[in-house]
Amino acid sequence: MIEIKNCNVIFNKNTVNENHALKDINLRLEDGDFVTVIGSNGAGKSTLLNVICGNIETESGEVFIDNQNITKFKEHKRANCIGRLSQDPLKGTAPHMTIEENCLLAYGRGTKRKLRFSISKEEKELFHNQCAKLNLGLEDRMKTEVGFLSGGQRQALTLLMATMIPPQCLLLDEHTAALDPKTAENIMKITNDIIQEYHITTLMITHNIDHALHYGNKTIIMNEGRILDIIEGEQRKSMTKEDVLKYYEKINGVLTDKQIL
Amino acid sequence: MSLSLVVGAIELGIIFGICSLGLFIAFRVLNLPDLTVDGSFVTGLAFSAVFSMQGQPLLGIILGIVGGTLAGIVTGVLHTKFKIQEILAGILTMTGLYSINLKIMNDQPSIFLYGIDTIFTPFTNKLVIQGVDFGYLLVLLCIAMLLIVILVFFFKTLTGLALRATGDNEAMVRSSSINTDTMKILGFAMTNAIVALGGGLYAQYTQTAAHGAGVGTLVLCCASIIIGETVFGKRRGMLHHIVSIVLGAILYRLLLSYAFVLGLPASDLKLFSALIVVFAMVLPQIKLRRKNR
Repeated sequence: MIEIKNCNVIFNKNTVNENHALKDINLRLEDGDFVTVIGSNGAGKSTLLNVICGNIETESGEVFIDNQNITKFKEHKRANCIGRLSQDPLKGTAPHMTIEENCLLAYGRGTKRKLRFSISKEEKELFHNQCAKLNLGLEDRMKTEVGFLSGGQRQALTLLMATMIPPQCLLLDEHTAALDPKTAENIMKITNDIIQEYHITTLMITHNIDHALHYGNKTIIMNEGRILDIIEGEQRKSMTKEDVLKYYEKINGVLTDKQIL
Repeated sequence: MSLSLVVGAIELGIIFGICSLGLFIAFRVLNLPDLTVDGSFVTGLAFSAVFSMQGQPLLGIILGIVGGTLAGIVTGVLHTKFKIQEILAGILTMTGLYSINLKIMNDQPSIFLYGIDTIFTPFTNKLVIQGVDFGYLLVLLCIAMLLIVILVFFFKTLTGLALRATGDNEAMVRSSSINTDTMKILGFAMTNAIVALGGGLYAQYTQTAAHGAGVGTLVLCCASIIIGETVFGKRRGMLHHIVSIVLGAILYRLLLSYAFVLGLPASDLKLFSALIVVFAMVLPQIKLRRKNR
């Protein structure tokens, strides 16, 4: 469960560049919800994810995960229960370390790191099997430095690492946007499989409207720092790409009216 | 070059090899050049000399290591908690240490240990081959090997892995719920502990402790690291990388000794070191430009 209460984020406060990025956001995701977020650039989608991860300061508001108030937790502490993927496939892995070592780091999430030898036989086997599930041939290259992998492979590995110990919630920030269409489809499928398998509460930002409607059980539309609408159930099932585009036009129409005024 | 000169160069090479292993953690693993080492080298040297004078050479070295660790922690905290750039944080600690080191040395700019027992004394004149005493070399070799074993073991542990990853991709490490600030402070502490160990050994080996001996430690160690990596390679695992750095330091000292024999004035040592680092950093760029043409 993720809950955000009365959240406000203001960038560059009290300067000419002041930007009220999130305005009075209230949002509640139930256990196992897979929510997609759409909205034009600058709508506050990524900011919303950053608020949950804790890498930006909020003006006001509180964040709860599984009824625990994590507002005051630092980023690395929140990472105990949050898995995250960003748009940049290079961000989620350490390039000069092997696949195995990367997996091991992710596997240590939420546990106290000790001065014990790094990798056991069981762990090796576990990582091998996990990588084999991706069907990308990574399992045969466990000793390869991650820097030698392609963007798609790295993103798949990041996904694997983020869910190695299933987190309470998963945040995906356009994680397929930098990949070619075929790889993007593949990664999206793997993502969905993993989310369904472990029943992870997920928030996914995407600019791909097909993905936004096809995957998950709810869709949030954001604009100018506000959540305009949450679409779910029958309404969402019958919604088409055209409907969403019309919705966007309507928003933009409101905008132009404002500008005229 | 006589045998005694070669052995002497290797011995000094091992001492600076130890320091270079310290800097390796900050400079190569964490990617944060740490100028504190110029000061913590003298901290180790000062403790070592002062306690040797009181008949406690081993305690001196250990206290030196503790002092170095503290200095590293200060730099680490300045850098991570107070967001001061790593170079400036290092300079600040180093500058502060200048006074502290003088205090440790009872305001004497130099201490001489001639005729005083050091950790090397029990091993002196026990292993003489062709008129050259190999005792010192043996002691230093053992210390260096012990350190190498400890470091290789450490980098195989989960904490070591996290330290390496912090230098590689910080954001990723944070998202694996590791506190990168703690890792950096740990790295700085280890760096300066090891450099202080080198300083402590240096004082007892040369039987002099000069307050100004630390100037240029960073550059000297950089030179050793770069020479080691260039000559012996670095992308073949941690053990290989670490050993090649110590070998680099020894090679560098041998080169220097040879240059001294040829008539390089000893006072040009630091200029020579600086030029080697510049040369080693510029050369790959020139090669690259040629290739791109």
